[in-house]
Amino acid sequence: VTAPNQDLSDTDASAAARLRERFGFLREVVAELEREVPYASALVRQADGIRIQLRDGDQQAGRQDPQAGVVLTVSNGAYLEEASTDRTDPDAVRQLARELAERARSHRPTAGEPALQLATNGALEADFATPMQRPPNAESLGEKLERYESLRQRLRAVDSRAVQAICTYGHNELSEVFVRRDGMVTQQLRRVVLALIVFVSDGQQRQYAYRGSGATGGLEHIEVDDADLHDLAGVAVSMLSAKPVPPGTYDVVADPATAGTIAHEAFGHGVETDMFVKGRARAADFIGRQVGSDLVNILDDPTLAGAYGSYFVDDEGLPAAPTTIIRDGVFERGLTDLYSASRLGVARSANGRRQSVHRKAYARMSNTYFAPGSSSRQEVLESLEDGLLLCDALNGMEDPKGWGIQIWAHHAREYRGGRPTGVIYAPVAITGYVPDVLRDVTMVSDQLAMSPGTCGKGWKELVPVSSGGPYLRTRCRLG
Amino acid sequence: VDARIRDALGRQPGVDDWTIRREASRGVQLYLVGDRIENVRHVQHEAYEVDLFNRHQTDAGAAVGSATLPVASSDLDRLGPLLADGVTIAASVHSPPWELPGAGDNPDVPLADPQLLSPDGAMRVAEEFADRIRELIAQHDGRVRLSAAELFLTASEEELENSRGASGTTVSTHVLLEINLLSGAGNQEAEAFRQVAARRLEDLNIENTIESLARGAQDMIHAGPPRTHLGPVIVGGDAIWQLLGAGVTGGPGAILTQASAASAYDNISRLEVGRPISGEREPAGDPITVRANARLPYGLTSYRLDPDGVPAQDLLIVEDGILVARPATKRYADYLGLPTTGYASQIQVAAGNRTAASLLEDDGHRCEVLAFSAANVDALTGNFGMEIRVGYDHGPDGTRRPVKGGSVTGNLFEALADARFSAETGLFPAYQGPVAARFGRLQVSGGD
Repeated sequence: VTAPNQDLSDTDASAAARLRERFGFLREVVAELEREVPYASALVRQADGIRIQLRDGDQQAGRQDPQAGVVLTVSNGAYLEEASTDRTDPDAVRQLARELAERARSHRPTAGEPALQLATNGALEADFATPMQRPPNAESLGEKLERYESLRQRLRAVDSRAVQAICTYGHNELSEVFVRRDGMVTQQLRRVVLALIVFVSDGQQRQYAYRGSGATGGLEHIEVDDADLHDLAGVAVSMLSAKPVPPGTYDVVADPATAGTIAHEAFGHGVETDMFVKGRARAADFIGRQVGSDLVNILDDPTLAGAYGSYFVDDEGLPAAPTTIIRDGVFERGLTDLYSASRLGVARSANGRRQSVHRKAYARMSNTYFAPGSSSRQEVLESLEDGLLLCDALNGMEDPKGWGIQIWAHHAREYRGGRPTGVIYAPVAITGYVPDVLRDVTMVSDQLAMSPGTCGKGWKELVPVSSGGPYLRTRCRLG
Repeated sequence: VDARIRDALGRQPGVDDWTIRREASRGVQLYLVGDRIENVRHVQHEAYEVDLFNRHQTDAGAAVGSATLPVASSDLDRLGPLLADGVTIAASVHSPPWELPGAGDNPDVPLADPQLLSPDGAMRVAEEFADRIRELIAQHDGRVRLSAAELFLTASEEELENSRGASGTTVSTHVLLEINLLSGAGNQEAEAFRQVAARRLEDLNIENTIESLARGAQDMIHAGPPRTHLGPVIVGGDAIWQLLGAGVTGGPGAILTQASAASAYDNISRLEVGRPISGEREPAGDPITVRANARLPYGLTSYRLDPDGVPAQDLLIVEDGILVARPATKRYADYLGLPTTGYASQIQVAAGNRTAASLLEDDGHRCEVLAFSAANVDALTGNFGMEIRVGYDHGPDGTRRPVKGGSVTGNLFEALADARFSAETGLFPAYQGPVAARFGRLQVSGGD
């Protein structure tokens, strides 16, 4: 597979050329390693950015999570061996390669140990960069501070019950170079994030509401207007009268953030094929079978323009492409990393991702979502005769073996006769059995909204992702 | 600390104070899939972090701005421009003035497992540990099998010095085990998963871990949702630290967050010194006593000196249910005029006076939870809603039914009003205290 060359700006093309020049020696390192082992590759990652946090009486700023490092990967014929270091100079990397080769050479296959045949994807020579309309660096730090402090102050002033407002801004540029025997690829990924949180108090209790936006791209993706600020403060104030949701099974409409979290936890983590290899995924027995209503279509798409989890090439050198996980209710295929795809003998999808060079690659999601349907948002909400609108999912946890769902929604709004009653419930824990929740999907709205987030494998291995969807009508157990 | 950084800070105009932190670590990572090795990794990491401070005047008066600059090895040759950027940042942000801590007497806090300090030793230990896992599973005669395991063994050296004379070095080790066992087959198959971290290998208590996972995996084959009810919930196993300890994102958890001086300064704390942490609810259980003990030997979040350079302390925070002190970093201590205690770390809850077994005794219906799917207590409100991953419904007739799914919801602070704690204690990730607690009234949502 040869990735199509992207039309790069002069600046991006120059940056790509510098990466190629600086890390060209990795072609020799990989070639030398492959004199000892059947497979070798190298990944360089460099990242840098700025983070600002503003609150009443306190301002903080700094570099955001800079990284620089190299990971070398080899197969010794039976399993993978890797070595990583923060040093990226040729001498340090060559020394690392010598030590790795020595360890790999010392492996003696045991009887019955199955050979590891890694399925590589073919030649690849390409350079990529995230396009931006308003690059973060086009605005000085002082201008950013002024802009976001003004935004924070406007949020703080919306309602007299506000006791604190916090604004967090960040941008990050990540440069990667991946080298294998059949090519070198570079990518420059730019991400921006903006988070607003407002706390309110009625003198008895404190509540809050949160709004996060994030994208691959420039500042054009994180614009917030005064209507957004009023909505946010309104949610926080309404939480002061929230009451616990009576436990039970409800007709619900999941908002796009909650629908996305359902997709992510249910048929995102549950179809990561490293879980198949470990015998941890019930979905492995359902390939080609109906797992939801005909209205259910779930995709993972690292090429989704502007979405926070997008990239051009995964961390194992495969060009990004969308994967249809569920089509018309039928489970089609999972998301792969190199190791699990090779062990399972299935075609790769570009989902091999690492938290950093110091962690191994796993099968990971990128941008995972329910595809839009044909109903309008209004039609979906008006269909709720007696149910709840689930709002602003905050997090969730996968259960690929048991097919359970745990999702935590910020709040839920009661609907009767297709109209909101004004009753708010919080906290809201959403649980359920994945096939039941997907089988009960009866309406899907016609828009798609994505929410940025950070995804862990269990409780670690954090990578940027997004999830989303339309407004989705189904049934869930709430507590 | 690399002298180039210290010298560059000394030369840089606009740097009025600074803190330099260095972390160097080496680790091995072993990944098993079933009985096979998937991956063996060797990791070397060395990085600096510099806080630089610029004191300046604003229209509102004196201010300090700071910039945190992680410095990679590759940055050491371009420190001048990097620090100049840092000064630009620090001069642009305005916070009320506060002073860095000076030289202090850092306590000796044991934080390292000696057998993990050399890479070769750590690799040998990892291989032996993997063999031990296989042996322990084999003792279950095929009733359970290893799905996957990950073992990370890391040795670190951290150094800190600041412009006011604080300095110190910490040598520590970190062990992380993720393990998953399977039992049964086909539609009658279930798993039991655990991820646990510690300073020492022995604190993973692998024999007990395998035993409890094996029991959990077998029981969960036949588990159903819990009975929906509002009533007693007994929390043990991993569920105790998921509820009382660390937050879902690895933060200090709801109790330490809400008790902190930072929350008080931000006006987002629901707690007041001298008042019960459980609010207006009438106390009906064991009044809780909580310490933030950064000196706890081998505590996962213990330290010798905090990231500002403040020596570790053992601080009583909640005594008999009443908030008595706020953990305060140097910054927020200066802002609020409180004693500096350093970063809140390693929550320690005092033991109760009943056995863990007696907490389950009751004539009525009660739910026992040994693992939630994830720690998920909202540190800002104390609200929680967590799915049961491993649990048991105990009926009035003495029945004990495995349960899974459904949720337990409530507010942690309100729930503490009628909590009772076990006399037995244990060391868990970021929590040391009773191994079980009984909450009188929590909402369990499951089957109808």
